[in-house]
This record gives sequence, structure tokens and C-alpha cells, in this order.
Amino acid sequence: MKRFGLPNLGVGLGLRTVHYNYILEQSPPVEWFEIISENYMHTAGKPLLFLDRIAERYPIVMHGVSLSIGSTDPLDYDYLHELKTLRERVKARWLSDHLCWTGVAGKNSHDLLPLPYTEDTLLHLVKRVRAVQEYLEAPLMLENPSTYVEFLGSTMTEWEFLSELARQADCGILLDVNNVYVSAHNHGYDPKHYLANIDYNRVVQFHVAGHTHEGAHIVDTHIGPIIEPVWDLLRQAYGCAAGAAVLIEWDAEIPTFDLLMREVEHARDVVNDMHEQVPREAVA
Amino acid sequence: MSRPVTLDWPLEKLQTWMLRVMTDSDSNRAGVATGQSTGLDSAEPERLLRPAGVESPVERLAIYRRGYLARLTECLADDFPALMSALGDQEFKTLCRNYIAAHPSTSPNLNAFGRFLPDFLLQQPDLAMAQFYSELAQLEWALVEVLHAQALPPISTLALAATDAESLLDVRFEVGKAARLLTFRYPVNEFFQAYCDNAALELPAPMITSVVVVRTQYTLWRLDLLPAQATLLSRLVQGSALNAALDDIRATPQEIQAWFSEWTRLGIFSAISLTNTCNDGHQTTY
Repeated sequence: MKRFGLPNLGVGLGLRTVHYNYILEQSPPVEWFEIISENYMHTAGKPLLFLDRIAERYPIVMHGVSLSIGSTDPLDYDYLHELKTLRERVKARWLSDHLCWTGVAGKNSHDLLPLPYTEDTLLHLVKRVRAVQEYLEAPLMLENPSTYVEFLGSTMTEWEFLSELARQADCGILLDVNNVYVSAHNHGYDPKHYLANIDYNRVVQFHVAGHTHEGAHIVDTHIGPIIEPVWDLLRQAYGCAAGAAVLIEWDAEIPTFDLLMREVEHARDVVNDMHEQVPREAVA
Repeated sequence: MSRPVTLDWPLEKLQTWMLRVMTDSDSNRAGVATGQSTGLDSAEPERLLRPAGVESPVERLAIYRRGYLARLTECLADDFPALMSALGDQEFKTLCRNYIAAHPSTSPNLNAFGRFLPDFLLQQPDLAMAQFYSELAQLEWALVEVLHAQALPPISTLALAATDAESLLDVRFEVGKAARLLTFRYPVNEFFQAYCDNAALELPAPMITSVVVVRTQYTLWRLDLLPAQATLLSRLVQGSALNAALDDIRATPQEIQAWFSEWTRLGIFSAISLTNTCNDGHQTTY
């Protein structure tokens, strides 16, 4: 079963350097890996050597953090060229980035910064997403970010903005249910209401991850394990998007691969509970 | 009460403001003040951002500011672990804060973010032993550069073996992209090794030392050089033919052969070329 014309890859893991050797030596039963695109750009060295070998064995999806689609800086076509080159090198199944901006005036914060959700912003992003997709000759998946501030001038909710952007720009959605949980807590809305109002026809992939409570707010740290309320959100969302791929993110205090596999198994249980097995792309 | 101003602000102005608040000063409110002083309209976070539970917009903006500093500091700590150990956590964090302010990232990724740190250390007027710390940072940065450089397989020396002895003296060696020759005023590689061994770290006395940093596919090497080795290799790096490079080098032919054998095995050279001056400058590359 395909969503948005893209294959169902099953449950995957974020590829992290500490697991390179384990993956190459043990060939663990993970259905696919997601890479942070920028970790393999501006390099001709060791990271690419490992990635090439892993890409020979597993499907790869590229997830970016510096497209800065919401920035008012011009699109960086050198960056897009490198992105396209890397996609061809690893035969990435699709590319994603975030509904955010990361910098302006040439300065990069390396953070996923929030946007005001207005008609003007929507128009700005629709143009840019279309330009990126035209250059890449492929659809782009955009992920809802975790946010800590909201702009008073916003005239749309994030779910309205994301769904409308996906429709007008004809792009896909990477729905991070942990980010929904984090932002809902931080801004005081109901995460289930958020999920009930997403255009699931465009959802190709889910992210699930851990986070850190800091008292009055939650920080999206990607430190696991994933808590049950986030699994519940995945159940709700996956029920509306059968055949979407699911990815486990764990980016700090990274555990052993065995422990990560427990999270993968948990995600598989959620997927299998929600729907009968859907045809998946064969894993090499 | 002031009305929200977001809609009155073009997106570029809003982003410029927020980035300054996040990155330019020690506190969010001071960040706003910086914005005022650089021509931005006066705007308090409360006028732009929604209240969020018990936390004010200023407190929420501080999350982004802390994340910005933490992310870039972590990047520098990853690239300069021995320097961090030598300086101590607090001194290193202060250094990072100043470096991040002086050299903000302008790249989509952080692979090259630390490239100015060795020179930046030399510009710290209050830092004792700045030369040593800078050299330590040079070594660690060379390791980063070599990690990301393309490493070619070691060159074949079979063709050289078939070259007559007289022509051999005209060969030139090209140093690979994944190799760096470094000469220091301090025994930096020895200090770095002590760090790797979890040994007690003592700031060293000055001593001229040289080291080659090179990567062979998956393995990074740090090779200490004798003074004669460093002189010879330095001349080759600068493009001298073997004949000229060997001038005044005090070593036996057997020693020199052993040096080249090791350097070749480690992939320091990416190409060898022979210019036959008796044949109209014909050049052969092996």
C-alpha cells in the first residue's frame, strides 16, 4: 500500500554514528533507517563510507534540519544541490524537513524555530515548497516542529496551517506525534484535537520519540523511552493513516541497539494492533 | 495594553528580531534592547508572543537561547575534547560562548563550525599558555578535517621500483587530502595521547614537535615525526623533488626507505609524479 505515491517502509530507526559498527556486523532486523541529511553533506570522508555500506543493505530516508523553508532568506540552491546529490547516492526513498525556519541573514541557529501561522506566511511557504520540489523533482515531506512560543498574530492553528500548506503546495506530511504532545503541553491545547484535524491523505511518515519535562514546559530532547501517552497518540494517528511509515528517534543519551529494538517492537505492536499487516516494500 | 504587532511586522523583521533575542546577548530582555539599538522597532516579547501557562514569553524565549548555546557548545566539545579537558569545563564554556558570538554558524551543517577556534585561542589576551591551547586545537581540528576528507587507497610503488635510480631522484610526491603535516612549539601529540589514555594531564614545557595526521579509510593515525622526517616531509609537501628534499637530511638510505614505506602504507601520498627533464619535461603520474 502506498501513501502519497510512496511505499510503506514499516518501522525504522534514526541512524546514529554509535551504531554503525553494530549494524554492519549484526545486520539487525530493522526495516529502514532515517539519516539526518546534513550529517552527510560537506564531507567526503568516513561518515559517507559507513552510509554507503548501510544504504546497500537497508532503505534510507533523508530527514533534513537546515532547509529553513520558512526563512525569508533566499533558498540555498547549493544546499539543495548537495541534498539532491546525496539522495541519488543513497537512493533515498523520500526527503523530509521541518515546518520552521532555522536562520536569517545568512546566520544559522541550528534550531527549528516557529513561524507565525498567517495567510502571508502560508503564501511565502507555498511558493518555496513548490520551488524546492521542482528543483528536487520529488515531493517534500514537512514535519510539525516542537515549539515553545506561539505568535500572537497567528490567525491559524498549526494543524490548519500544515494541512493547508500540504494541500496548496502539494507536499507530504511527516507527523511527529511526540512533537504534537510536546507543543500541546507547552501551549495548552488538546493533542487529540490536533490529530483529529490533520489531512491524513498526505501523511507519509510518523515520528515517535522521548522528551524531557522541565517543570513548566517540555523540551523535545529525543531522549527515550517513549511514554505511553505518546504511543496512544500514535495509535490515534496511525488509525487514520494505514500504511504510513513509523520512525523511532533517540538522539541523546543513546542506548544500546538492543534497547532501541524494544522501541521498534513496541511500534510494530502499535501498527499491527491498529491495522492488519499492509504490503511493504521488500527489504534488501 | 499594547496590541499584538506580529501582523504589522513583515516576516523578515520578525525573524531578525527573534534570532537576535536568541543569540546576541546574555538575557532575552537584553536581546530586545540590542534589537532597539540596531534599528529594530521596540517590541517586548509580551507584545509578540502568547502567554504560556505560568511562564512568560521571555522565559519561553530563554529555552531557545539555552538550546542555541548548548547545541553549538556541544558541537565544539565533540570536536575539541582534549582542549575541553585541558581548559576545564567552565573555562571551555566561556571560550565557547565567546567563540559562538564571534563566529556564528553560516552553514547548513556544523562540520566546519570549529575551524576558527585555533586562531581564536591566540586572540584571548587573558589566556595563559594560549599558544599551547591553540596548537592542541590545531591538532584536534586536523583530526576533524581528515575525518571528512576523501582518503584514497595507498599509491602503488611498483612503478617506482621499475624506475632507474637517477630518474628516481626527480620524483615528486603529492600529499593526499586526508593527511596533514603539523609542526608545533609544544609536544601537543604527546599531551593528546595522555588525554586519550585517561592519564594525568600536565601542561607541557615548550619543545618543537611534528606530527602527521592521516586517515586510511576507517582509521585515523597520528604519527610523531623525527626532526629529519619532518624536514623531508615538509619539503615534499611544498613540492620539492625527492633529490632536493633529501638535501642535508641526516639519515641512512635504509632509514629513508623505511620512512617512505610507512608513509606510503598510511596513505600520506595520493600520487607520485616523475618529471623527466631529459625528455622535454614529459611527466608520468603513478
